Amino acid sequence: MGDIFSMPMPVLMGQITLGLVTGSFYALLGLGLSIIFGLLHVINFAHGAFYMLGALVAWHLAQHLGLGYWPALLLAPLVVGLFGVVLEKTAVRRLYGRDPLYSLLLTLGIAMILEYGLLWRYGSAGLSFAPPPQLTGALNLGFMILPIYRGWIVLCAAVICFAVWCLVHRTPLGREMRAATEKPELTGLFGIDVPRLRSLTFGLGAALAALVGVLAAPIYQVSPLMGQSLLIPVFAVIVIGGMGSIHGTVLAAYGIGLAEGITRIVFPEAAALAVYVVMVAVLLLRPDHRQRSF
Amino acid sequence: MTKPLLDIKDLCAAYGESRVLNGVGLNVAAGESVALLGRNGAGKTTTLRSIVGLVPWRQGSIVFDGADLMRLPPHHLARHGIGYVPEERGIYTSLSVEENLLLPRKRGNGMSLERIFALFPNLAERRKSAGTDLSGGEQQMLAIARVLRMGIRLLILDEPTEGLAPAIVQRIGQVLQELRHDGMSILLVEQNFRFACRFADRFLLMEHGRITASLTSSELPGRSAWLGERLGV
Repeated sequence: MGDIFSMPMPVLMGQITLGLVTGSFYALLGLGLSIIFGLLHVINFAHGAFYMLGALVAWHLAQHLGLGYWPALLLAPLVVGLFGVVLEKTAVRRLYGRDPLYSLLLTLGIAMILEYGLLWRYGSAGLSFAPPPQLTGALNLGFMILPIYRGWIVLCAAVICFAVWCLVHRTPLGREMRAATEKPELTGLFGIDVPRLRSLTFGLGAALAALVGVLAAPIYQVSPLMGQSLLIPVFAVIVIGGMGSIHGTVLAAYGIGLAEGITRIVFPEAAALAVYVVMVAVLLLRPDHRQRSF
Repeated sequence: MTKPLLDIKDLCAAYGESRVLNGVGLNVAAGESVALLGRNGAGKTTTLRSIVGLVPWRQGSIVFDGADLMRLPPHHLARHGIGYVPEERGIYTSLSVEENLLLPRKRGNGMSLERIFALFPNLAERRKSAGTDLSGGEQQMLAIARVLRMGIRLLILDEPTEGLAPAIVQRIGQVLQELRHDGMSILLVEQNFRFACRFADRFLLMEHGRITASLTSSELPGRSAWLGERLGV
């Protein structure tokens, strides 16, 4: 088998797979952030905390109710989504119409309270959460060894991204979301309850983040601060993709994930910088690169 | 006298420190067409926007078929049968023509897509186009067609003929005539006086944020010179 960058093919493919997994997490988290920003104009710094809550709820379901991975995939997003709805109704909506900086600070405060409050309860040492037996092990594809769980994440992310796209572009709810994003006041006059739509969107974004948390739990340790390291690159991704744009977010997420993976091969020390280099370049070269519509 | 469908009393409205309406009183009976006339800045558009709750501050009384509109959230207006077509038409750029039409759910005797396409054949041909790819006239047709899905009883129109070609103006006039014959009430702000004369039963003159005169269509011929002077036409 040939070498590329003086690296054996299986190692290269392994890095590309890692890049795709990272890109999948970026894409799914970025989608939630993007949808929330598009409709609510809220820069949601609590998104990483929702991701962490998803993982933590899954861990609790396993520890205390004996429910495994598959029920957690459904229940954790539901619980965190409902929490998101309550949060929107009681706190976030009070700041609509103001400078987005206010909601940024509010959600940052909520994230800090959740993360450091839970740190006090759970500590910083990670809690382990096992993948289901069906998804353990690896497949030998000939040119690479593919860990089944990582392959599952990439597949799952592709299906969820497509499902979100269908929801936004092919359903009456998505039509209402796109309309309310563009002209919220007028949309209300067509009989659409825009405040309820906003609550639902915030809850949906939170549920999506929680789903990513459950998917990530078997790979990363479950910890109250697990969302912090992922949130900043995800913000960079949605800036690169065009804030509020689903297509742009997904493309940027996978592009950045792969760029990180490949940089790890050619210049490992700079891998974590790749996303920020691209973000700075986008902001400098195309400062108006922003889309508000989905 | 029968109870009016829309009854507005002592309506005041403001944008920030700027007060635009100073005690507007008007009513529209079921099946009646009323044209609101006045010079630029008289408060016509603000009156319409106040009725549908799109001004930041308003005071007074707006009652529609017994329901107090001052207390209702905007999305309840459609349920009560009020449709509003804004001056800027409000076409969604991210939605196709068909999606724009499907946005309001069909209510009561609201029109089906088939009936709307029969009424506006241009829209049928361009149903998959982006709403903003339409000409100004087609956009106006789309804006009117969209509210007709909601089974409304009162159609509020703000400058529906502004900037449109005469053939389109004529088509919109025909459609409004048909709606009127079907018993729909219409409240219209219109600079095109001749257009308004074609189907309005009553004309209200608005000056400095108040209604200062009310003329029926039969009174109009004798007062047209006076009215023209007030309107500056």
